[in-house]
Amino acid sequence: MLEIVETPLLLQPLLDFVSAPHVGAVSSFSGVVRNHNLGKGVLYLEYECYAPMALKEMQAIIEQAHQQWDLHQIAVVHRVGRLEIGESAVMIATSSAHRRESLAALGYVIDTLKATVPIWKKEYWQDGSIWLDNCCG
Amino acid sequence: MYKILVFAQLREQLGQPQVDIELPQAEVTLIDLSSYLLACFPEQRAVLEASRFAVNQVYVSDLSHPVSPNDEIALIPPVSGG
Repeated sequence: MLEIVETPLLLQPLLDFVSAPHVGAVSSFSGVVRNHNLGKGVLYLEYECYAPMALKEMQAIIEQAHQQWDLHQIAVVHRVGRLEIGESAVMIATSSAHRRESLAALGYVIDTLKATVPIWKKEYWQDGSIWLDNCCG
Repeated sequence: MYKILVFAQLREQLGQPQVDIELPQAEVTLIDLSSYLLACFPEQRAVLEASRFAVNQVYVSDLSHPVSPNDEIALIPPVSGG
């Protein structure tokens, strides 16, 4: 399960996707828009992506995680467009027979996604805006 | 003609989602495109130098990589997904 959408994210479809009778661990992450960053009050964020490449990069991350750990499934959904405070920008779920694999893969997927996938967010404040950079932020 | 897709702050600061480049030489590499962009948009040097090229939706770090007008070329500014 791998999608880029413009509508609010729901976790349950990801959990359903990674679940199975032989799965003993389902781990999930939701990246949420918070109301402050770098000492500034944040009003909202706007995300944009280079969709075909972003999907390819995320597919590669999923395949790398499967090679590295014994996993059942991985689900990744990223939202783009305008997001308000408290809304989720990305949801990831992983599953495995035992907890260590799904937890390790979960951290790997979000860390690598943030470092390499061509998606950008612009942060809007009361008095301005800035494009963020995951390397320095 | 070479078409370069640009995003985020590059798209905003260049005022367009795509930059079209005409070059006279027959063999073109990413170095040629990079040099051309730096010459055209000297005020964008910082973000141009912080950006990475992708050719046909794959990152290419070796700027001696040859490109053709049929390639989908993109300039990827520092990413901030998640």
